[in-house]
Amino acid sequence: MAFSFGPSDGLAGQIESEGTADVFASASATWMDDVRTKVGVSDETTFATNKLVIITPTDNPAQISKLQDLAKPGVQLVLAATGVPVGDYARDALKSAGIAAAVEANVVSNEQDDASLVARIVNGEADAAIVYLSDVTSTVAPTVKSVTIPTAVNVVATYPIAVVNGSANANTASSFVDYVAGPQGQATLADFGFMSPPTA
Amino acid sequence: MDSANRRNSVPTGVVLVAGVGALFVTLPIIALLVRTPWSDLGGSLARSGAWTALRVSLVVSLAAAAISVLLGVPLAFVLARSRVPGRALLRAVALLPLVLPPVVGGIALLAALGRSGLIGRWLAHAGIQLTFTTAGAVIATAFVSMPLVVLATETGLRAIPPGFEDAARASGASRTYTLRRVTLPMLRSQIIAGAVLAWARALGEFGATITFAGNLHGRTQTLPLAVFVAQQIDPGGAVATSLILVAVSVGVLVLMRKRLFAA
Repeated sequence: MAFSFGPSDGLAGQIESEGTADVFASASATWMDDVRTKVGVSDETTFATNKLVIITPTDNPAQISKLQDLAKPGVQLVLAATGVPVGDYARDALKSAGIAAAVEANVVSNEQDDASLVARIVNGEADAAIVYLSDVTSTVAPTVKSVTIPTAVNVVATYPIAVVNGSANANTASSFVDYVAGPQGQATLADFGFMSPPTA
Repeated sequence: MDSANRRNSVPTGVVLVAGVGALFVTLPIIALLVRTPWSDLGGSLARSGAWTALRVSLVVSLAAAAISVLLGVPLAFVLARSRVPGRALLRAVALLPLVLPPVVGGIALLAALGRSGLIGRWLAHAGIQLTFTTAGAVIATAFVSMPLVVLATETGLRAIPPGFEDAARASGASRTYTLRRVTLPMLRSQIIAGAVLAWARALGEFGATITFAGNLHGRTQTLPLAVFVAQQIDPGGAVATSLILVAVSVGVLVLMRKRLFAA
């Protein structure tokens, strides 16, 4: 089994132009929709959910203690670029909180993925970032400070997985999807900070 | 007649392989032209913010080329002419960015000049920040492009017969006067070639810039960064923006063909 990891948007683009994947797991429904429309998928299911969290350097130089603090003048915030799922989710949450414009003015860099956001904070280069809860792994946790985002405005990301049409190994691909969505896959995902999909 | 004879002297096998080599370079460019959304070129460029990125790119690349010349030419003089101990090591370090992956250069710059970096933390105390600024993009770009000026200038210096400078010194000219009136004029075309190469390299710089200065439209987002971001959400815009870079690059080569290839 070969894995190709990358931003959901990038992977969707690769599948659409190269058509080489058996299974596509996406960090947002948007890019699964895109692949479903352009290539077609089967066995689609939600395998995990995730939510957003603010991270700051451990010394929290801009003294961020709640979501609204991100709008304070002079805060140096890094977000993922528009079109990158975690960036879009973060902007949705900020919009719900009514502070989208003020916060956008504090953005000093639009990064390409959540890993770059975490790196900026761990290195102390920026005051705050909005990432997935699952980004704050046991390795990352001691090197950053987490600030929760209220459930009312927090965006729950749903992660779809599906077999891509045209897969040469459709049966194996289908078993893999079942495995990820099944108890063993869910236990592994929970270890990495992901939440289980809502039970239907 | 002369040029025709010379063309005939190339063996057929070499010509065939050369054809493959030429295709290897031209085919992707042609494919880019084929994929360009010509009917909506203006719209694509506007959507991906290409014109603002072009402005940032021009400012950053010209400033980086200027810094490369201002610092790189004296460095080349020391490497080629002085008796400073450890020159071989100094040369290796000065040329390192030529072979170093630019992203590594960006990480090294963060370690030195970032907000919690070696020197950066003192700069931060003084209220100076380079990361996430246009100045930071200039520094990251100059880091990558300066070795081209050093290389071109040092090559030029080594090609000057020692007699010229010796004669000037022997007739009583000071070291500074000799440098200004004898050495620099003889180096003119080498320095210009180095500056143009540095500028062209600066225009295409991506890894060090995005790592050290980040990516913000209108401030640190140069054309290559705009292409990268657009590629994720608007492939048509990415292709259209790439076209600007191809056009500028071709322009540089055409304008500078005599200087770059005659030397």
